Amino acid sequence: MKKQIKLIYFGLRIEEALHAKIITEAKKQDRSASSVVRRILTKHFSRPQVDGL
Amino acid sequence: MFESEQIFVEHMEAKGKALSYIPISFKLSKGTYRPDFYCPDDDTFYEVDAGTTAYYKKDKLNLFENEYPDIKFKVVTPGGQEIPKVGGRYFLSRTKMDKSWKEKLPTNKSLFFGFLVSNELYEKIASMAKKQSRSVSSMVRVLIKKELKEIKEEEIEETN
Repeated sequence: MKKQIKLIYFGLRIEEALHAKIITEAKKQDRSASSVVRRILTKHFSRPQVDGL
Repeated sequence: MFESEQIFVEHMEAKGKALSYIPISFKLSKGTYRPDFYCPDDDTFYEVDAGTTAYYKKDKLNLFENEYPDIKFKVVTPGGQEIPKVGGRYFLSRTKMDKSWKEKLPTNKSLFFGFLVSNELYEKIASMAKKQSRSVSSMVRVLIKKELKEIKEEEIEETN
């Protein structure tokens, strides 16, 4: 069952200030806010991991 | 996602369980049914009842359980309390629903943010969260904050 799910809708609560930062970054990059967050996370995991972060 | 569903996500996260939102649609002899959540950790589908939704869906819920008896399925309140069945069927009533979950709504100024993420990426985040004893939401918040800070630093380096 788990392997059939290709995409997950993930929702979380974030502070207003952080939300504003994401929106600003999205406007700068001419992308959607969700696309910016996905790229941020993908970029993070594409780097060699040191001390977990 | 409704606020009641978000409360349920937070409840499950506090227990260290991740959820997929409306992950799959099941064909029924009469229509289709999409449970609210799937939890890979306990291989269970969940329908969150905030007071009236499940009441209007009760025939569908009963049909789903009859037609997919091997699938683990629970109707729960936003606080995670399982709603019992009577004689193997849901007899949900509009008037008897527990509304106490509304008291659990966060009062601090925070916004709900949702996005689609691949299973593979989600698992990487969840694995990191587990290592650091954080919830997945907390891990995502930390990573976003860290990476947005780095973007700023990169820009500063470029301008210098």
